[in-house]
Amino acid sequence: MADPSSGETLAALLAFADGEGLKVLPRGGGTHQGMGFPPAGGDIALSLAALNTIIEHAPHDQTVTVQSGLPIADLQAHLAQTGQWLALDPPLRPGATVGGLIATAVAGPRRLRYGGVRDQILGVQVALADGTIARGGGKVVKNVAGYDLPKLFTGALGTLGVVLSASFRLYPLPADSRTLVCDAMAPEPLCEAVQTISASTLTPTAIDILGPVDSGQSCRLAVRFQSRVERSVTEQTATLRTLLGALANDAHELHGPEEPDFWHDLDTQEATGMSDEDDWLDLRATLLPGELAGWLAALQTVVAAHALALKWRAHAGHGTVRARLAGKAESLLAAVGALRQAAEDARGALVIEDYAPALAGKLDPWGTPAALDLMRRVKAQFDPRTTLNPGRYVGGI
Amino acid sequence: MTDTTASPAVAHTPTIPAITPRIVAELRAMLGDDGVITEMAELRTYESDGLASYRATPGVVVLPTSTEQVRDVVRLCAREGIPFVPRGSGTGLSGGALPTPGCVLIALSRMRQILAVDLPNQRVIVQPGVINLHVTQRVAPAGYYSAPDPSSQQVCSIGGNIAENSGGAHCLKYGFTVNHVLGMRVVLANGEVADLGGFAVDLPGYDLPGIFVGSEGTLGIATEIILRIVRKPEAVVTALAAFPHTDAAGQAVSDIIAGGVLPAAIEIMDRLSIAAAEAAVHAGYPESAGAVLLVELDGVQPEVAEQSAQVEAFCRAAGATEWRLARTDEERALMWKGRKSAFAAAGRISPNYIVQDGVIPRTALSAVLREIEALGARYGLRVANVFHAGDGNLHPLVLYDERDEGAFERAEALAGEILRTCVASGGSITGEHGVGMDKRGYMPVMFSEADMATHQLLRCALDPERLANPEKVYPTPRLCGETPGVYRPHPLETAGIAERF
Ligand SMILES: Cc1cc2nc3c(=O)[nH]c(=O)nc-3n(C[C@H](O)[C@H](O)[C@H](O)COP(=O)(O)OP(=O)(O)OC[C@H]3O[C@@H](n4cnc5c(N)ncnc54)[C@H](O)[C@@H]3O)c2cc1C
Repeated sequence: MADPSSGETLAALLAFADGEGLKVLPRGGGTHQGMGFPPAGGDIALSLAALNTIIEHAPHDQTVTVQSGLPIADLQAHLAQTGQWLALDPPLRPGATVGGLIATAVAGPRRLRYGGVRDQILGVQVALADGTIARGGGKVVKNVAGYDLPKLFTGALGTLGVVLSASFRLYPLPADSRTLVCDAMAPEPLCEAVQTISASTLTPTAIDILGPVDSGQSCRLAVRFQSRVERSVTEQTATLRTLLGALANDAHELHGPEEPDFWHDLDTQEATGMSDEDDWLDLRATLLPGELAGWLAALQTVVAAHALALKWRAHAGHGTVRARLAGKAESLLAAVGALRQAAEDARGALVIEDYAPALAGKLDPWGTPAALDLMRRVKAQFDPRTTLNPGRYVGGI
Repeated sequence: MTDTTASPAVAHTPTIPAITPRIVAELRAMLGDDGVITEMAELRTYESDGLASYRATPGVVVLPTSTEQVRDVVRLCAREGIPFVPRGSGTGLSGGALPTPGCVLIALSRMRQILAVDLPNQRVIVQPGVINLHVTQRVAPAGYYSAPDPSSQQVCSIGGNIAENSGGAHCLKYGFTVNHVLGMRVVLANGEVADLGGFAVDLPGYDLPGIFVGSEGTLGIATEIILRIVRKPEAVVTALAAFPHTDAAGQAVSDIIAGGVLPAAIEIMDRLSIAAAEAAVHAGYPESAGAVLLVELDGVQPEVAEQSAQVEAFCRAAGATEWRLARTDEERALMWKGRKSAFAAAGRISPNYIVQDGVIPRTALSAVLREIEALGARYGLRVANVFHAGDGNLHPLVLYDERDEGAFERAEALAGEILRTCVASGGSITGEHGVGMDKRGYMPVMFSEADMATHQLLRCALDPERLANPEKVYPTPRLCGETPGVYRPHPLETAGIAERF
């Protein structure tokens, strides 16, 4: 375990390891170490915990530059003092760092309104395996000088280099929030409602569907409106009720402190999971929004066929579903195969974000991207001796 | 045969194999006679892009109509070791589509089909030659539009937008081209066809579409592009505020943003550019004003109504002498026309001009504008300013008359000083026009050798022979194919390593 306190020390350590053929596993808060294949070797666990400062926050420029070991929660707390936030809301895992967020690029419900990590990251400073320290992008919100290194490192799971620091654009915190919640017996009518909302001029910040919310197949739609203008939020909620028609009959509205609590609970529950007996896995399907209903139907069928337990949450507006499946190992593996096929047939993809240790080595967390061969070529240039996170990424990169 | 004027950096001039009659015959067999141009007079049409001060003649121009034809041409280039340069509509302002002398210029202007429109999923698939505005026109009847809106949108191509990661007035709120591209089919420099990204968001693997967008034609040619389209907002308010000086306009912008309002667009024009726009298109801007601020708010009705009142209050507090709302679509279009014609309009007040594209942190606006004014005075040249104020993207127009001895050189030097000022303030040499040929000499102002060598690992991964638009973006090429060091396993204790540091 190494815990360097400066980027230069970290880079020197990498260069040393690279020269000696030692494998390095970088880690932020350690909350996503289960992502990907098990590493094919690991001599040094490289902690970024000591690189945890806010380098520059320019509130009036709405930008921030931070070291990558900074916990996300600390950053958000700091930004909130000036009424701003980094508009990314991944599932909450205590200790999760900015670097981990960049490496995994996990997105939450409000990706719908703000985009993902790739859309908000402005610049990076990285250390390559050979010890080179390099910058890409910048710290202003608009910049097209040079290849987009920040995007390359976003979602790369630390396989191309170690992000030392990064710059992001920021948004003002919304002053008013309101969420309309309504239930249905099955996902289909709710997915249809989502299509209606997407085709309307409403501007929700999140549209989630949750299931199952009881012992049967019932699901819940939660549509969130947020603005600095209160009337925008109240009027949109009213318009939504009209749009939803009969579905909205039993709908209820959340506002005041219970509103953020509702979403906070969802974000934390998701991360803590639901079953301690059996094996389990957490998957993420990304789909075209219009294919959601079809894929969710496949999910129900597959889960029933393999006698698995299921809990899922869809960020329906941008076509992302997160689900935890639990049951027997071989049933889980079969289910993943079928569900990945269904996602790919619908022009989407399926990734396993985390899984029980017993499944390690038995499943492919990533699937095979069409451009896998190009990705290998990129890896071969940035980390030719496969020093960083060997074997964890797509295709065993 | 060729003349490349005033390159700011040492040109990288490898010997380029000649385009022989045999190669031309092969190209004709692939593309048909009307797909291959060899006549010198016709080649001249392609000798520059929107940056007319750089010129070079291609060896041959080809006009493919399909991915397969692009692939075949590129394969031939790879086999013969001939560099190729992609070209869309040729409106680029950084010399990105400037031919490498003697190259095969691949013009995508015959690939103009919108291949698919999927409204429920808000996606369209287009060929690269499709004109930016045509995408919006196609989906507008259903209430959608394509967000990136460069001022050149009536003529520039989606392929060019991809290559430059083009922006536009509305990218403050809606993002740049890269935020709207999900996937693409590309022909790589070795003639391989690859699919990057796809239809859904957050697909597994490296963000190759994110890398390809903005790579200025140096990593290959995009031949099919999957774009996101967005729903037209319920309400739009466009307003114009006049100020005595750009400082006051800049203050209004800061106050608006600090007040938590995110306008769809927020643009400033200074006295000179107002005069130019008036002379060119009679947009009805108050000619006595020292600066005009153009603000557009969009979204749901109650939000837009309240925020436009807030914006008006901010403007008045900052010293606005006039506040005008567009009451009709015609009025809105006219307000925008003045802004969108700003570059061409500079021709009304000066025989020649250089458009710059530097970016600064928004808060540095007044300081940098003053610095630009001082620099202009020192060089004895006028500088008109138009800018995307919300994101700090300046377009200083350096005005000069090429008939004056040394004026072009002085204008270039001044433009360079302006870029250095932008970088020194914490910004960038280019916000949306790209580096191309024009600004590659300034890359070292922003990036170290190590930075640029690292960036170019991408080139080594995708185009190690440097055939795709080889001269652009980086001043000095990185040599590819340095073989990685020998693998030396070492059974060192992990804990032991950690102690060393
Ligand atoms: C009056 C005027 C106003 C402008 N306003 C704006 C503005 O507001 N915002 C803005 O961002 N830009 C603006 N521009 C710049 C320019 O219009 C954009 O950069 C545009 O995207 C270029 O498109 P094009 O089709 O003309 O590309 P070209 O100029 O033909 O090519 C540009 C680059 O793209 C490459 N390329 C072209 N097609 C492909 C392809 N299919 N695959 C790979 N590479 C390719 C070329 O090699 C070159 O490097 C303006 C230009 C003018 C003249």
